[in-house]
Amino acid sequence: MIDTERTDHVWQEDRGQRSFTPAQMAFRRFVRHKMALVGAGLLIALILYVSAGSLFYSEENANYVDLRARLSPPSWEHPFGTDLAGRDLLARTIYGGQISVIIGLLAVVVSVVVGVLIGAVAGFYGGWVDAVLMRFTEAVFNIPQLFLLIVLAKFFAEGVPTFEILGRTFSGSVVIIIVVIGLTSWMYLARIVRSNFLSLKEQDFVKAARCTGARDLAIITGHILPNTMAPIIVSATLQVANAILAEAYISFLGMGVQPPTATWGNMLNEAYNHLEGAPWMWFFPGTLILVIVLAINFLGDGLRDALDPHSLAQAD
Amino acid sequence: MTRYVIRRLLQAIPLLLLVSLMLFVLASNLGDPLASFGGVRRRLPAKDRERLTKKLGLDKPIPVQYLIWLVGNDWMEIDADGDGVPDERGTRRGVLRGDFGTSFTEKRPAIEIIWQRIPNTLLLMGTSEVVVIVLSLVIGIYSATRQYSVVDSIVTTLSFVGYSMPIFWLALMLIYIFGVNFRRWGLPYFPVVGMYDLEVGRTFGQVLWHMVLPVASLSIVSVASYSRYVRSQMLEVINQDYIRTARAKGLPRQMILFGHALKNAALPLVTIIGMDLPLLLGGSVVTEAIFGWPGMGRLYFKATNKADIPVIMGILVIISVLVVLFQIATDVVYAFLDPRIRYD
Amino acid sequence: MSRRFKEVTWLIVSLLVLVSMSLTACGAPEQPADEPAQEPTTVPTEAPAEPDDEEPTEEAEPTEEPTPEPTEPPEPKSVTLTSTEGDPESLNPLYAYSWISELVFDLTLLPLWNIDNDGEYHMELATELPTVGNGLISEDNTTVTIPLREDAVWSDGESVTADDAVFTYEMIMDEANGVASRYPWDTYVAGVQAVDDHTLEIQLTESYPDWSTSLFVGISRIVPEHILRPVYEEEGTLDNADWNQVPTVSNGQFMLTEYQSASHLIFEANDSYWRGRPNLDTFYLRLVEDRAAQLAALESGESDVGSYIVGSEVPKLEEMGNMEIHQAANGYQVTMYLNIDPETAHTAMTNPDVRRALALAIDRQLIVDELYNGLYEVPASYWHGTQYQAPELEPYPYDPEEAKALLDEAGWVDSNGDGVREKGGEDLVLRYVYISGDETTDTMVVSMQQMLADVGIKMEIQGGTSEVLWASFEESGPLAIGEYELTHWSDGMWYYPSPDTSYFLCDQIPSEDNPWGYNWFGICDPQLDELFKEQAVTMDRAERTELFHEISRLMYEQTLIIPIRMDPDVWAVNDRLIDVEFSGIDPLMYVYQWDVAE
Repeated sequence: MIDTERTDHVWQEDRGQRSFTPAQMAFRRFVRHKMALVGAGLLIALILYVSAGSLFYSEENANYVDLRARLSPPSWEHPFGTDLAGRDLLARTIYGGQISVIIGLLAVVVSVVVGVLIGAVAGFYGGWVDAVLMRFTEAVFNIPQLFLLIVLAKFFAEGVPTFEILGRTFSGSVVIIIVVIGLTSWMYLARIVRSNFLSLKEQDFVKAARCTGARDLAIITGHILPNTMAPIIVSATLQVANAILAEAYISFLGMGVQPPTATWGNMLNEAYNHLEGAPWMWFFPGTLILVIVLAINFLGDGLRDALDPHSLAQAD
Repeated sequence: MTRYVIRRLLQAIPLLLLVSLMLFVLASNLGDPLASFGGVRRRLPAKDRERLTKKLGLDKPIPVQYLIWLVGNDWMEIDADGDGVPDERGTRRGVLRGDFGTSFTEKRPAIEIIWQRIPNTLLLMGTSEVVVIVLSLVIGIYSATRQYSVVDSIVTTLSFVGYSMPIFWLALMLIYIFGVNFRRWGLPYFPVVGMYDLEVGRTFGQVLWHMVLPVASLSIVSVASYSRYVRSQMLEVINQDYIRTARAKGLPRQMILFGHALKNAALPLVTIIGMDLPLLLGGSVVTEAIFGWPGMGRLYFKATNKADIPVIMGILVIISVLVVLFQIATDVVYAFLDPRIRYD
Repeated sequence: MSRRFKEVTWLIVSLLVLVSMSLTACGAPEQPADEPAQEPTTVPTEAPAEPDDEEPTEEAEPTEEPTPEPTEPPEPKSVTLTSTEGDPESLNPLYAYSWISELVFDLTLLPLWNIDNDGEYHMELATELPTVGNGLISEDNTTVTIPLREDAVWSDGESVTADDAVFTYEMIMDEANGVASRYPWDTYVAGVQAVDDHTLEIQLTESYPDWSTSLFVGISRIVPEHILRPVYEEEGTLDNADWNQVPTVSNGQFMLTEYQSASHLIFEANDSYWRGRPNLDTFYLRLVEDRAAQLAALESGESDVGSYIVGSEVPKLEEMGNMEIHQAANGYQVTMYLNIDPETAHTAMTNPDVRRALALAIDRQLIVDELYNGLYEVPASYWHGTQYQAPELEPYPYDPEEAKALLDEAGWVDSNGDGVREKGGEDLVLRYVYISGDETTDTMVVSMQQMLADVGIKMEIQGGTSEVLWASFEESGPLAIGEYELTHWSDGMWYYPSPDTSYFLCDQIPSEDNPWGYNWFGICDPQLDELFKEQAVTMDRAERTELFHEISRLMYEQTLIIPIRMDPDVWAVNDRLIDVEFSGIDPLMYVYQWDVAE
């Protein structure tokens, strides 16, 4: 529903001043959204925490097992306490955070690529291609993500060996989880992209492009896609939060990233049996997950308002 | 309308077949179900393992296994005694005729096992769904009508926090506070395991009492997000002209609210809730695991661990069918509620 | 503008509230251990003052009970035992293989005899243990005659006879039945006959010393012919008999009266048990999802007996103040197995010095002390705790310096300073494959990784479920095809207290021609083979013991396996129960004597 009242409002505000590009206007709208700023701030703080933190704690710290120090409450030596194997939890939240964030980001990359691909092809070509792709999308969408996650995670169970990048060792299960989460979250985006494509392809500028002999691929990537960036960006941002949550769920069930590689999710898995005995074990990773998802949600909300002032689900 | 429904149903069939094939391939590669046939403390002797593999038909190629799963094997000869020679008619009738096969882990028809668990999950989910709808509407409307107030801000904030929480974190917090610590502090506390106390039996009261924490975990997250949605929908509607007209006409507030605004605001909620079924089912896996609730989610999890193909496929098929039917039902309800919508 | 500001303020305030709430909720982490818990031990969770709309107690599967329910005394005495093992796969011994099924059989079906923790035989269905001395075993050790008691009856009144045993044997061997296992019937038993109603005769194919721990005892039980033969005759197989899921008759201490999948089994005392009615009236077997749930149930009193307790849970149980911990040796131990097959394993594994270094580098006692509260012993060999272990053997010591020296001597040196030894360009990286998911085990493996890293060996961990890791050779299961160097699991002698095992035989190594072999370690020592084959048919205890002394010595010297810890049955029992005893071999054999304190 296009609410001309609102867009008029925006124009009126800037009347008499210099005009802005859409991007600048979007930015101004974003900045006015206080919650989004808080979200962005929190996010930056967290990313700093997990990346810069590795300057203070080496990976060895995070994985160093000291059985005699296991399950110790927070102290000077171990500000967040230690876990079941006596490993320092602060260091583990840092390195675990890296993995959780990486998984979140990369999984979204996978799901955006797949979703946009399928949505664009379905929307652009229409007809039976659209029908088949959409039925397929619905089919996969109907199955609860967690069920799919579980089956896929076990399917690829031993697929990938451990590997090293930049001196850090990653368990092969990280790649598996990224792929699995990506493969189970593209459906929503595909739908949105498709409906955008369906409406946009009838527009004059596309018809004009066709007249000038532009090929399909060029039209898709050069003309239509840029105009659907807004919902893609918003959706992708919110997806990161979902991906982090999905990783947490599946690691909690024990099927996610395998030890000893830490993620916030599998740290919660380890903490499950020690709710009262060692509450620091679940409190820190749990809260970190909460805060990052919160931050991303705020941010996404702000983005949605900024980039798509026509969107229905406004906060007010 | 009937034509629409029938068309949707017919369209659903090839869909379901396709999905079932994909899932069967996945489910067949979860490991060797016979690996743990010796139980926790034993391993099966070699001869027995070989014999049972043949008997269960697990040595056949996957497409053949899928076919048998779908249409049964009573039309062909199979090797029932594991001696390598197919010499007996099969006894399976296949899913299309309602036979989901026999569970590998429990030696009972898979459908029986699943059927026993479904009511428990439905109970949990149904209750959660009702709680979600009621609370979202109440909170959303309250928030919308008191926009900009303190209450509204608190509610908005809590909503954000609520739906950012992983369900299990929430569940653990609830257990920690209401299950463990309440008991420590001598307050009446909530049980954290199972559906009812064995000694008391499966009474209405017991089940209700045991349901409180799991339902809370499942619903809080959804309430958080839906109440926001209702709120924004309500706000949208309240600002419309026809509401202003009604107010100008002097209609009492309640009537405006419930007679006009609510109906229009609640409509999209119907579709959203329809789409939410898969989410609730998923949430149930974790919640059931944490609370020891004997439901379908837990069964699924166990079955995937044990590579119990008949049960896994049975659950997935039932879920897919349920979701498709639910979606069609939602669309029909939507059409009833909104006279502007006409399918054809 | 100000509204937004307010929103943000409230956001911050709410978060602060949430945080402080959580922190106070996490208040005092540890209770002092000597503070007595004030949990009520008798009545479980108090339900609120609920209205009395009680739905009738639902029975998931109605049973056809020919005998009337025992009339309840004023206070029915009941006991709840929780198990985390999941549903029994079948309640018919022919199809069962899991520990939980065995627990059920201990309650409902009579074996020939039970064996207690001292290795003493307690007669149940049989009246006398056949030996050569009392003439019930033939001179050539191949015919065993077993007299059965005459007052054993099924709960529907039918007498238990030798025909039931013969029928059971027939059903096991019948091709139409997809039984769990035919071993050892298909290998060592030539025939089973009923000499008369109460005398059973078993013919063995050769002298088989373990007949008394495997035939119609343990998980192998006798089924009622009068109920099952008609089913067999009508359907041609017993695979789908209702009785498999809901046994309608029992001859043991209790009778099954209710079974709800994934939830519970309810047993009532059997008046016709030959020892007389048990002290307890009702026995609840409650199936819970995991250990945390079981601990919660023990703490709240919903459960009286916790099964399969792990050492790491003991402090929590002791905190509860009303729990007694019972241990029962069952022949199981957690052993680290090594892949020494030169074709599939890392080259270093074929060197016994390297293997010895592995053993010396891992501080098993520390693991037991820290992770299991010192509850278990560190074994010296597979037969630790029995007479079969060579008496001079001591567990490998913890000596990382010696380990390093051995590795240096073997040529594995860290020349490039990356913390990992290498030789001839090959890094000393060992793959550790194990069944993950249990947090204590996961922690143990991770700490072993650290201990090996401390001596310059890199360990790559691969966890998974048994379905994935123990998949067969044909399915390329990683253990079966040798894609690992180290693994561990809890295992023992199959028919403990019999010491027999065929794990380490050369002909059990899986290959294309023999894909079902389960010697996944590549152990092929002709001398070892000889000894094992000989002991399998040695009836004389003393001779057999000597053979095993040899065996255990040989395996110790070569460091073929690294025993980690004993794995006995550990039970937690609420002290409202008295006269509670367990056996490691037939766990619930004593339930008939359990009682409830007044």
